[in-house]
Amino acid sequence: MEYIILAINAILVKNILLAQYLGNCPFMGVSKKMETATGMGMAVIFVITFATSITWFVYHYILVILQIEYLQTIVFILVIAALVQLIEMFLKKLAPALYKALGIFLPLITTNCAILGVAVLCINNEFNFLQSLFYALFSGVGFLLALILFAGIRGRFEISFIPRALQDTAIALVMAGLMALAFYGFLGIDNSLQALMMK
Amino acid sequence: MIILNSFLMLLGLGLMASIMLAIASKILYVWEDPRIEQVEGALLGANCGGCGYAGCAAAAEAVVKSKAELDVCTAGGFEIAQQVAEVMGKKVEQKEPDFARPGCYYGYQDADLKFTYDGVLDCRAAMLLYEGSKECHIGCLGLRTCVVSCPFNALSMGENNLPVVNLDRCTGCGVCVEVCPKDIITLSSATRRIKANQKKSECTAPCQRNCPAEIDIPEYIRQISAGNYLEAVRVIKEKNPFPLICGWVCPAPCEFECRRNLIDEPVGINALKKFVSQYEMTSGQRILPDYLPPAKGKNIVIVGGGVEGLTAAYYLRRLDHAPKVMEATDRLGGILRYVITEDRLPRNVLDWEIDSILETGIEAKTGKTMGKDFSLGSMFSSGTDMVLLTTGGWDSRQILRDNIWGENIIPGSYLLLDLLIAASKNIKIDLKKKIVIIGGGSTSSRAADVCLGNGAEQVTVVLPFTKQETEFRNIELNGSKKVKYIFSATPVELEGNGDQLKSLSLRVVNDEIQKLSLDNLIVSSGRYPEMLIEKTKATQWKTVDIFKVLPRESQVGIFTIAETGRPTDLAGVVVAVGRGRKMAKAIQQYVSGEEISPDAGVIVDDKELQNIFEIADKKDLMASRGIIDNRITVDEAEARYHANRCLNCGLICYKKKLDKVNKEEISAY
Repeated sequence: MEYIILAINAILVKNILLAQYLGNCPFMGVSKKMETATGMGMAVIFVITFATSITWFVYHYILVILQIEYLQTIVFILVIAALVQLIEMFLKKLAPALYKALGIFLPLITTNCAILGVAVLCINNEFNFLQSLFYALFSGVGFLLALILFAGIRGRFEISFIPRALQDTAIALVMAGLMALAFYGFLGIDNSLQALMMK
Repeated sequence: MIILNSFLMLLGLGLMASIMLAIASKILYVWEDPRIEQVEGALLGANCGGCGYAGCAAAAEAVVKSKAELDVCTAGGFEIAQQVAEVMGKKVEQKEPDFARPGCYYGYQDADLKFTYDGVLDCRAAMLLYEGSKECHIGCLGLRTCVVSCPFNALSMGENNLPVVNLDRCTGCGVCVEVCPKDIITLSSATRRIKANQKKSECTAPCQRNCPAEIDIPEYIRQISAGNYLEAVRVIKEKNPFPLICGWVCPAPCEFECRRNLIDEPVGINALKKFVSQYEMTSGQRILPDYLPPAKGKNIVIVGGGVEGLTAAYYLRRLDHAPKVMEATDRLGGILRYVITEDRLPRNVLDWEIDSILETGIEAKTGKTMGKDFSLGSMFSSGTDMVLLTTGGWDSRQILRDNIWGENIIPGSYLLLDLLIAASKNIKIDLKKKIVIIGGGSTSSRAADVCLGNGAEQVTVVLPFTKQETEFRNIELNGSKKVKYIFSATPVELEGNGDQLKSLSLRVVNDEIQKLSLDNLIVSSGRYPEMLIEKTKATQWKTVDIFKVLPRESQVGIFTIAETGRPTDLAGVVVAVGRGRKMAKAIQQYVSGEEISPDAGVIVDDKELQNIFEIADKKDLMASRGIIDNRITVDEAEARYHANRCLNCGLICYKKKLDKVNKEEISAY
């Protein structure tokens, strides 16, 4: 039950893109085509889960013990960057097919705020390891969902009349704002979810 | 303490990460050909997909792994191919570029509409609603889908809501072709146009559909009315290398179908052709093909220097082969020179146009008779790859010379007519043992007797119909035991070695192939049909059925009988021209390993002329025309006037508003 609530929370209520406004760069950049949008979304799920599980250990078993929690941000960036590099090499060698599908997105993710954000959120919310893992996984799914929805809408831009001044990124930003408003509606169920969690 | 801790921790973490990555990069190292990146750098980087690969990176990888050619980048053309070749350390040859060519001439504001469309502004979306708003099922919907899709910004929307191609920017990548739901935009080049057949899915005017040579008549009239006379000649010569000769002698079937017939009288299409080609001749600027590839194809000997042979030679040369023409009489030109009188066709015109053809680098030898001065055996042993027989429209070679017995165009074969004439004149006939007679009804029975009387031991008669049909047609069968009949059979392949016949393959009932060995072959047609003979190895050869390129005639086999209406009936120069070009196309198809077959959706004999419903009722208005006097020559002013009378027809659309001036001119004329 707890994990289901966590999933709903991460995917819809606190959607990382549309409710927390993290990772807007790929949201604009790779949402022009459905194909690249799915590729990017998959890569994010993959990396976000790995990164959060590693940073959780780093935080609890290194930073806390050494009492240097204030170094959280810089250490997380370092760890995530190294991790993504390592994953990229692994994939290239061991799973070339997966590398072909996700390869070009991996370097983009290295310093992405969505990844870092989720890692930090897990610490701030004082999740245990399993909770962190699930929260990260579902945040990634939320990212994928938002990206796919957005790519679908952007596909329609191609065949619509858009004033010259608003073409491309401008109208996309407006659109992103409207979508965020729509997702804001999910906040209404946040309190009842919290109540369920308490039980 | 905290400072030290922090310092050491970061140092340790950084060190650990770097050591780990360093080790991993050693262990997990994957070798990548550095040329892939270099080739990708050389490519355009538009990721248009015109090459068939998913983007430039994939194409670069395919090139480096030798899965793709150096000129994989269709969009980049020769320049990019050269850069790729440089990276790969190889050489690349220039190819003719392709350009996008929209094939609709009337935008939706001028065309007949079924309904007014107000929806998603995309042709593909509009297509879903009753195949678009235009009455014409192949009309451009004008919703800019191609313009938006072009990765090189080469397309724009013209004033009349039709796409316009900027030829400087168009790279021939083919994205617009893919994206157009009506298949209106096609990739076009002179080579493609030469090899093309008119298709149902093309917007062609009635005149063009009725032209046996398939000349793009509206286009050349447009060029004339714009004053580009030499450009008009170039348009004509893509389909007909003899424009001036046709200007003099063509029966002009195009003019009979001209829609102007329904208003007053047809546009003088042929007179216009005559005018521009006369202009070419008097100006002395010969219009040769704008691009002649190096002759690295096959060595093809064309036997017969008439219109058909010369046309085939011209287009074979244009498609990179090395044709050589052999003519039995003293001069090239065939029936044009020896049958058509000089007042109908001045000989300087004939010589001028034949010279135009020879100037493309075609070798021609006259006074060489096949079967006497040279033969298949002698040709194949001296470097010839293929022989194309276009011995022409003579009803019998007897017209040319009297005693032709023994001049075998195909070694060991005779025309049935010549055999019977030789027998009646008591000329010595030397035949070998196994004879095959193809076709010929009752005369084949008589010919079988002649063969048996001249040393033959076994005669096989191949007839195209069933045994019952022979009774119905009152065909007399030869009763001799040495004569065998094969019914319902079509000859499909003849094989031989040097000047010796080996075997004849027949397609019999149920599409089975039956092979007969033979020494002599008697053909019951008045003349030899066009035939392509290919060298297989050393001096061995076999025939190739080139008639398959003509739709509907795919079942006729190689010895199609030269009757009216059959593939080899050459009723007019323009028919022979059309056939010559189609044979060049068939040969090109065969050489490049494709199966010889007509293109899908080709317009066949009944050209499906599509006239407009408004004027369909006015058929009785069709003015009857007197005998066309092609000796009339128009001057420039008249030519411009005639060109402007053209209604610029498409399949359905046409110029509906005649200019006022034009109407006054008509009444004044």
